[in-house]
Amino acid sequence: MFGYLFAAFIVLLLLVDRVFLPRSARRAWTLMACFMGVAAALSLAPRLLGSVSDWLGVGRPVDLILYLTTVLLLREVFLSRARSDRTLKALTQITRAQAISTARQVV
Amino acid sequence: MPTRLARLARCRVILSPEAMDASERLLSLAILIPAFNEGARLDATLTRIAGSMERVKAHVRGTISQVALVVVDDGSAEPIDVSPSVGASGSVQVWLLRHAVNLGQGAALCTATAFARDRLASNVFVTMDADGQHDPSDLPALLNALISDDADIVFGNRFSGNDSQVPPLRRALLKAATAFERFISGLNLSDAHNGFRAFGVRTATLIDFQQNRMAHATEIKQIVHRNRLRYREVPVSIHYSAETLAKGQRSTGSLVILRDLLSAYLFRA
Repeated sequence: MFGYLFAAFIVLLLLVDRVFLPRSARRAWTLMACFMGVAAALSLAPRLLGSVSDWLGVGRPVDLILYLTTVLLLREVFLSRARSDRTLKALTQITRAQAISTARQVV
Repeated sequence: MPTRLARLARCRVILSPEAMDASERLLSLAILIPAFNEGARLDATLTRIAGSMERVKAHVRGTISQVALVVVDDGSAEPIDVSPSVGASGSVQVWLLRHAVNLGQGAALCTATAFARDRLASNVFVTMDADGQHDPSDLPALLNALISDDADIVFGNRFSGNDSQVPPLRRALLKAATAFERFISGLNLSDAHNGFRAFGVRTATLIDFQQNRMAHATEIKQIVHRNRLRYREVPVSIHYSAETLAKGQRSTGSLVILRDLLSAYLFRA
């Protein structure tokens, strides 16, 4: 029962995102839909994930998902931080140059 | 834009002890004031600083040939405008720069320093807060320590001044921050995060903060340590108003500073 509800929830989210995302994000949506589709399929076939986790030697299927998700999320956090750092530095340089070029003597 | 070497060479002629004695030194003073949502307080602060300049000139060991107040509006919600009455005494120039977006006090100070150093050719720089908590009558002490002790940078110390009004909780927090900063930067200073400082051209050429926000106060000490700059500390007064205390750094700001320092360490360019 949970599997069907979860899969329906994922499909609903994807449809809402498809409507409200800008055109430029459509390819990203497609990639996200693939991952979400796998999640929905696994929720409909829980024994499949159990077989995979048994084969890998991980105790429970949810532990397998947890390990993968944690590593990928942490990596994304650090990469995002590095990217935003570079963007902030560029923004600072541009803002500074503009401020200096438009400086005015008020007294 | 002049190269760093050219700037240093020019100012060494003016400030080097070998070239002339203290009384002959020509000082082109820039007072750097970052401002964010200061409102009417800023005009009052600038008027007070401008009005004190004659007294400052009389007590400084050297000749102040030019005084420029360099205000950087760090993306205030209402763009800052300086009243012309600020310059009624006729003794100062007032320059206004504006960041299109709010970047932080460190970024604003960096902008002001770059402008004063490269456009105004200033050779002495003083950083002050825009809310009037720093007393302009302490300027001679800072400047004289810079000139007479041949220091590269002079830090104001709120904890040995005669008229300090640092609230007890803030004093305790700053003491803890001071101990931490001694560990991080290796400098033996009594006041961790005082925005009242004076420095010369050598230091000004090295100021290019990676920290845009409040962690710049730690970074400046790291710059001093890394470049073996000569530093001094002098007592200064601090005057908090209810507005200043309400607007000032929260206690959790220290955690933000730690986070920013760690981030800079991990993602160093």
